Amino acid sequence: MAQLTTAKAGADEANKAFKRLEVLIKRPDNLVCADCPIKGPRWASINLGIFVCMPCSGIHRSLGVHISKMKSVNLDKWNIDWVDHMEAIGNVRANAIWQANVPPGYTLPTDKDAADQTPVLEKFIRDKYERKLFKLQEGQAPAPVAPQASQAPRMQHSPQAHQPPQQAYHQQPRQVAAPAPPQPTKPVVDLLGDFDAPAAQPHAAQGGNGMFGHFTAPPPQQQLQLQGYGQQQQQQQQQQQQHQQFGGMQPMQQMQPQPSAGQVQQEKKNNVLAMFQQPQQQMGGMGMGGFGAMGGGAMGGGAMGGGMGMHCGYGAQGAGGQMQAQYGGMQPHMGQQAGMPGGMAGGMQGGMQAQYGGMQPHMGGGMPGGMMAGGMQAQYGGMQAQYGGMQPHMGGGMPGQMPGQMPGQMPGQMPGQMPGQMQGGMQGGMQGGMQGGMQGGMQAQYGGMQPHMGQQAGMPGGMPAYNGYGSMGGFR
Amino acid sequence: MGLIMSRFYDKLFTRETRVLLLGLDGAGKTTILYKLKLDELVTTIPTVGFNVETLEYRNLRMSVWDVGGQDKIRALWRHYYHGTDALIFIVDANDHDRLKEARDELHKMLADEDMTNPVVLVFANKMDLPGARSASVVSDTLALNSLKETWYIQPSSAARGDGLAQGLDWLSVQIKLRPVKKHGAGS
Repeated sequence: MAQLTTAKAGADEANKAFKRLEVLIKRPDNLVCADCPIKGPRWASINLGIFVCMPCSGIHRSLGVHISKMKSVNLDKWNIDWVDHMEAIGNVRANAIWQANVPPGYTLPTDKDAADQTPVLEKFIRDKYERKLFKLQEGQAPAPVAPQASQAPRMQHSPQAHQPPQQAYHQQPRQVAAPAPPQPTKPVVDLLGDFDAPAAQPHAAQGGNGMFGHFTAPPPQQQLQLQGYGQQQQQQQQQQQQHQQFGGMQPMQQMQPQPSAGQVQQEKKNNVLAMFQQPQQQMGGMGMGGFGAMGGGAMGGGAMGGGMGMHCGYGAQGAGGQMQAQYGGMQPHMGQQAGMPGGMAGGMQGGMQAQYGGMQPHMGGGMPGGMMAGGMQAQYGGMQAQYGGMQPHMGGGMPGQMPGQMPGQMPGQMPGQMPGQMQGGMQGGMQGGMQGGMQGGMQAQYGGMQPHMGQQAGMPGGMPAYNGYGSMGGFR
Repeated sequence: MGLIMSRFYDKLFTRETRVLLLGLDGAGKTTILYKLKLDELVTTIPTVGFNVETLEYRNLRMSVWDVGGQDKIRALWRHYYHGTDALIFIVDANDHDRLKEARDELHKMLADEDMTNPVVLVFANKMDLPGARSASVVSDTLALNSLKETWYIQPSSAARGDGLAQGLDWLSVQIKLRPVKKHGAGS
C-alpha cells in the first residue's frame, strides 16, 4: 500500500495542490466538517481524507499521527498526492465508513460542542476514529443512518428526508453483498481506515466491488447532508463528477431517490436555502481573495501604533496570500522595549468585510504597544462574517502599553477589553493580545453590535475568553 | 540561615529569561506551555499566531513564546529569535515521518544570525503513544550531536505530565551558568 509522501512539496507543487484544494473544499460533500456541524472546514486529515473545522482539528491532533494527520488547507504546503487522496475520499464517503454504525441515542456533537471543544466532541471523535466504534463492518452495507445519528443540521429534516437513504440501500444490495474477490483478505473498510494509498485507484473501482464499490451507493448521509444544505443541484453535478472520477463506477444518479411529495417540499425549501448558501460558496472561493487590500488596512492599523519598527509582512507577500489572510496581513515585528516581537494579526475580516461592505467597524490590524498577540483564527470569523451585517470586529492585538490609543480607535469595541489585556506586573512586557475575533461575527448575527472579544492571549487574570478560537484560546 | 540566604540570592538573581517554544505543527508546544503554566492538560486548537506566558521556575522568570508551527507560518519564527536565551524544541516522537523535517527546521533556525547561542532543550514528546521513538533515536535523527549550542534531550509526555520538570531543571541550571545577556531594554 502506497504511502502518502512525506517529502515537502516544492513551491510549484504546493501551488497546484492548493488550487485543487480550493476546489475540493467547495464540493458539496466537504462543505461541512466531517465530525461536527460547523460549516466551511479548512483543516484536513490527510490520511483519513476528511476536512474538519479548527476545533475538531485540535482534537484530531491529540489522537496522534498514527490515527490522524492534520494539515491546514491554508497554512500548510500540500503535496499533490495528499490532494489526490482527499479527492478520492472526502467527508461523505469517509463518514459512510467511520460513522456507519452510530447507535441510536448516541449524543453527537453540536456546533456549540465543537466551538467549545466540549467533552462531547472529544468523546465522539475518539469513539469514531480511535475506538472505531461506529466503523462499517466488513461485509456490511453502508447503512442508512438513523435520524438521531444524523448530525445536527441534518436533524432538521422531516422524516421524509430520511427515505432516500432507505431507497438507496435497497437499490444497491448486490454491491454490498459481493465481497471483492481480488482482495478477499482485506476488509474493505481497512482500505480507508489505514489509508495510506494516495489516490482513488480507479482500477479497484472498475469492477464495482473494489474499494470504491461500496461507495457507489452513496451513503445515506450524503443525501441528507446535501439536502440539508440546499445543494441538491450541486449534488447532482457532484455525483457526475465523482462518477467520472471513479471511472467504472455505477452512476450515482441511479441512487437518487424518487422525489416524494415530502421531498418536493424539501426541494423548495432547499432552493431557498440554496440562495442563502450562495455567499458562503463565494466565500470559500475568494477565500483569500481580497487580501491585498486588507493587508493594507491592517498595516495601517499597525502603523497607528506608531513608531516602532515593523517588518511588515504579509501585505506585500504575494505568495503568502492565504496566510496573509489569516495573519491579517501583517506581521509587525517590534523590537522595541522588551525586545519581543509583536505579532499580530488582524483578521482576515478586513478583506471579507470589505466585500460585503458595510458598517462593520473593523480593525484589521494590531496596534502595537508592547506586544501583542495576534488574532488568529480569523478564518472562522471570516466564515461567519458573511452573514452578519454589522459585526464589530477586532482583528488584532491590542497593546497593553498604549491605552491612550485605543479609545479613539475603536469606539465601542474596546471597553472592557483593556483591563484584561494589561498584564499586571510585567514590565515592558508581554501583553497578550487579543485574538482577532471571530466570534464577534457570530454574535453580531443575532444581536447586532456587541463588542466582542474573540480571545485573548497571554493574559493572566484576563477576561474570560469568549468561546473564540483563540490562540491562547487554544484551550478552555 | 543558609536557606534564607539562598532564597535571598535566588530572589536577587532571578533571571528574566526569554524562551522560545518551537517545533513542527502538532508537536505539542501549546499543550506543554499550558501544562507548565497551569498544570492542566488543555484541549488545544492549532496555534495560528502565538501564545505567550510568563512562567516562574526556580530562579527563572521566563517569558515563553509558543509560535504556531504550520509549514507556511514557520517563516514567522525568525521574528521571535532575537534575544532568545533558551530554545525549547519540541518533537513529536511518534511522528516518524517528519523527524527529518524537524531536524531541518531545528538546524535552520540555529543557523540564523538572530539566534545567538541559546541553550537548546529538546523534548521528545508524546512518549505515551505506542509508536514513539526513543529519545536516542530522536537525538540521532535530529543530529543533535552536530549542534554547537549546549543541548539536552528529554523524553516527555505532556499528556501525562512526564519529563517536563526534568527538562526545566536542566534549563534553569544552564541559564544560571550563563552570563546575563544584554538584549533590548525590556529584559
